[in-house]
Amino acid sequence: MRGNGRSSGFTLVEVVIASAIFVLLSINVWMVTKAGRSAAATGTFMMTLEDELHLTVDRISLALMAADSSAVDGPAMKPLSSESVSYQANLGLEDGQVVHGPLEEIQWIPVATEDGRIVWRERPSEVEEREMTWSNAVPQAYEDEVAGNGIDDNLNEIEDERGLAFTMEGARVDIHVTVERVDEHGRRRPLSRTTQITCRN
Amino acid sequence: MVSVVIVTVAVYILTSTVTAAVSHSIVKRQRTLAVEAAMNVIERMRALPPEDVFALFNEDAADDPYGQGTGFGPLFDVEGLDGLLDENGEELPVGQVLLPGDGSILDESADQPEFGLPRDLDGNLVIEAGDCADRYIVLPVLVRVEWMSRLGPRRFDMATMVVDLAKLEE
Amino acid sequence: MKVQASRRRGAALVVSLITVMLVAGLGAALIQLQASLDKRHAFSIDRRRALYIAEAGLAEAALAISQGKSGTLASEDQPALYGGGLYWVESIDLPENKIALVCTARVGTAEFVLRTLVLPNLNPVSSLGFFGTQGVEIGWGTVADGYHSGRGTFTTQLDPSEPIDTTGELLLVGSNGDIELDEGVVGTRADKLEGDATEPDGGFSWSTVLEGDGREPDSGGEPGDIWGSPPGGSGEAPPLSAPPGHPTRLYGRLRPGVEGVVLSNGFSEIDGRIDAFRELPPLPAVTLPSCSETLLGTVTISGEVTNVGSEVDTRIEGDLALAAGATLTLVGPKVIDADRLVLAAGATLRLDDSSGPIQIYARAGIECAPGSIWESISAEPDARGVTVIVDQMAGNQERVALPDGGRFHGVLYAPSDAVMVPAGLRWFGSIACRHLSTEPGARITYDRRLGIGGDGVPTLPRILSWQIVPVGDGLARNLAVEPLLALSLRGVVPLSPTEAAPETHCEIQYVDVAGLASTYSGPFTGLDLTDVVRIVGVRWIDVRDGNLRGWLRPSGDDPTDAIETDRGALKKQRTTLTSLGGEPRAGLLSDALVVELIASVPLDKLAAEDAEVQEANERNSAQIDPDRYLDGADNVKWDELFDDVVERDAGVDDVAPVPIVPGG
Repeated sequence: MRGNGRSSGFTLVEVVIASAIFVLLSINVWMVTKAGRSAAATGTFMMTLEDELHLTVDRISLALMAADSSAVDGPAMKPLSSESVSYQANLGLEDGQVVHGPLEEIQWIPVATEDGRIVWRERPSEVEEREMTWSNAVPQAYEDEVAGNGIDDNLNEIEDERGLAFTMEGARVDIHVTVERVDEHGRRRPLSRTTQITCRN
Repeated sequence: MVSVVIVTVAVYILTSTVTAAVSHSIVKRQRTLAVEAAMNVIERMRALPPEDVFALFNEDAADDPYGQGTGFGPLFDVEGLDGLLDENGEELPVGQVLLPGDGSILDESADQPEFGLPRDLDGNLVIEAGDCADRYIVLPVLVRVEWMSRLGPRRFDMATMVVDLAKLEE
Repeated sequence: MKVQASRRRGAALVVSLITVMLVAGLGAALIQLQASLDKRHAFSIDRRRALYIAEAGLAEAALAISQGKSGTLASEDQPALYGGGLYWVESIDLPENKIALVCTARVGTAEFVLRTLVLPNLNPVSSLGFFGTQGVEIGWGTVADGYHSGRGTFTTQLDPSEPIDTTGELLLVGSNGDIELDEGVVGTRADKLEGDATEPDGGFSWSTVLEGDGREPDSGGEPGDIWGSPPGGSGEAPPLSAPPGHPTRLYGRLRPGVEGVVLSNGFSEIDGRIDAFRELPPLPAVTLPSCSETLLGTVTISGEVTNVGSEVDTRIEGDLALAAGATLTLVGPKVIDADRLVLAAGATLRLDDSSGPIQIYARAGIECAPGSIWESISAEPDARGVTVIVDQMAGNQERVALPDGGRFHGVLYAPSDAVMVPAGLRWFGSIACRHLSTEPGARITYDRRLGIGGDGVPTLPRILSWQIVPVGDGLARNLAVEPLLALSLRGVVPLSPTEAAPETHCEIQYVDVAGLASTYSGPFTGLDLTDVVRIVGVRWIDVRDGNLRGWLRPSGDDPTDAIETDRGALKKQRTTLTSLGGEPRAGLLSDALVVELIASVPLDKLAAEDAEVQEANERNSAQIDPDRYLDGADNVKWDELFDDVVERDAGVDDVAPVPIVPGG
């Protein structure tokens, strides 16, 4: 009975110690899980942002690469820049004349106080206009640039460039893009890239 | 007790997974930087007169078409990437433009299988010994980026070919 | 109690399992998301790699085209291996010498397809048609049209619906300056332009309609004799001794300089369009051949003689002179490099280019007396073309006097000289010179085939367009299996890029070590290259249809090393540009732009530097006002110059229609 009595219950001390261990362990597990979840969320957030930036820049690059350099309108030479570009692809020659594709346009359009989106349009202002948003997380100014102060704040040789900015020299177009989203902690997280392409036509 | 161990191991595995994912994300970002840098170099080449590419990107500064030392040279840095270390602990350049030839002479008869040489580069149907830097029509190019990542040394190669195929202005 | 203990252990196990499942689920979701993003990322990178490999494939195809091949490389079944990826190129021959190339590249997870349109071995001189750097004057009553000698004789290409013997198409007349029509007519009637001025690039079709007498140019008179009598708006007779029976008729395209105009008295008909050059077409420097034999002193021909010298390439250190009544027949392949080409009255130069091309370098000019004749005796499409080149020289030269009779099929290049085409000399081909004029009543026909290939100038393929061909759901296709792995699973070994062209058998015409013309037919690998000094022409058997392609000299085998010379001249110009205070801006310096920049620098400033650069400047004289880019101290204002050029190049939409300025 003595033996049975010992095995059928716990002393108060045992329960307290067990509870303490359980609480400590739970806290530990919760903390580790939280840290992991947070890291995962941050990692996922950054990966998604990175992916968005990469895809956006890639789309713009390939579009401009096929453009006729003489039909590219908008980009300026540094330190000026433009937040839009219109262009036409070269489809070849017909009877000695360059045959161009329809007019296309890539433009940053403001949608809120600080944000904007990148829009691609084909045949803008025409009945057959097509429009597609390539990114809706492009801020007003490029990373570390203060808009409208006439100063090259981020020392990239361009003044007051937007979150989407084009500069051009000869047939070479530099594409500057910043995408920015608010993470789970409410912080704005920008990611930027500058890519060079050369118009092949 | 067994449950506690199981749960602890599971959490550890999750944490490791997350950590690995974050590390991988950084490595991926570095790879993106490497790809971007290689593309930018190729795009810069495309903007140049094709006949100048060899002189501008080879090791010989004396043949630079706009005056000695005005060429780009074969090496370039990539912001955000650390170079590998040589045997003396010095950091090596991250980016490199690899061209056929010995750095100053473009010899289509050289044995450089990585560029497909020996082969006809000047379009006369014949493979000749000697320098054809002033008359090549095609030029194989390899842009290589090597860097040290968290997971060890990494390399990215981008290959293309420059051709004297200027646009006909109409 | 045992039951209770068992229940507790089971509960713990369930809790553990649930926890583990949750954790595993989280991990799996993370890994899945990561894998998905990784896949997209890898595809994006592979897409770019595939693009550059596709460009490498197009480069290889362009090289093949420059050697006379079709441009087809490898195939989907057995692609070529380059840069860790695979590619193949399909080519399609199009009208007007164009070739469409479609290159498919596969690497990693991506397939990318590029399409380009190229012109093989564009001759920068003959492709300009009838071109005068400083201007073109078309004499009244001149008929100018075009044809393609690869399709047969001119006669077989005539358009029966036209009132005169003409093909009714294909002409090119261009200038860095103005184009003046109806020279030789004194008239006052105004032009009435008809057409659509809204056509792209400011081009428009128009025809001149006479006002005053209300007579349409194509009304009245007999076919071929539309006007019957010379027009003179105010009743004055044009200053012609033998006026032609029809107005000036131009069928094709007129291209004045960037700031040039077309001037007309109002008597000409243009069936085609007028559009100015957007930028100056740079003319190459004349490069002279290295001949294997040299004849000392002037060679004078009397009687009937066939060829000069015993070898293919002959340098005459003196003039090549044909005495009165003499007939010299040059049989191609033949290169003559003389100081001058001189024909006395009654002399005949016969040109037989059916077996090979003929090049005549008349370094110091051509002097053909009235009554002399040039006669191209080969019929198209066998005629390979004759090239006559007069060396460049600083200053405006007048060293070319063409014969006033005969028929010539070929190209005349005299970058420093004024050239007048006599009415009696029927001209097929093209002319590029400093100033070109045609005698009233002249008959000139542009041969579009001669715009491809030729000797003495750098001839390289030129790209007309570059396009991304959408595949799959977007710009590139996502591959399920790594292409190299897929190939190895099929047991296929990819080709080396240098072995990717399917053409193996050819016919080659070459100059052998003895300096004589030789031919070889068979597999190219069977040709003893040690016996080859230079290749005159090659034509490959096209594996697509088994037919022989046309003759073409490989780009890299010019007898005058024109490519090297031209590039050297360009580098020299750049050096001069830099030495004059220009900042080296590699990204901007395309060939044409350099020429334009150099041309915009005041002549005296360049002349002080280098005579060659001065010649280049004159060859490509621009209409940019040099004073605009000079400050008070006579220094070049480079930034303004660059900015203006960049602005002009970017503003294609702002190109205004070419003004037509009535002259007289």
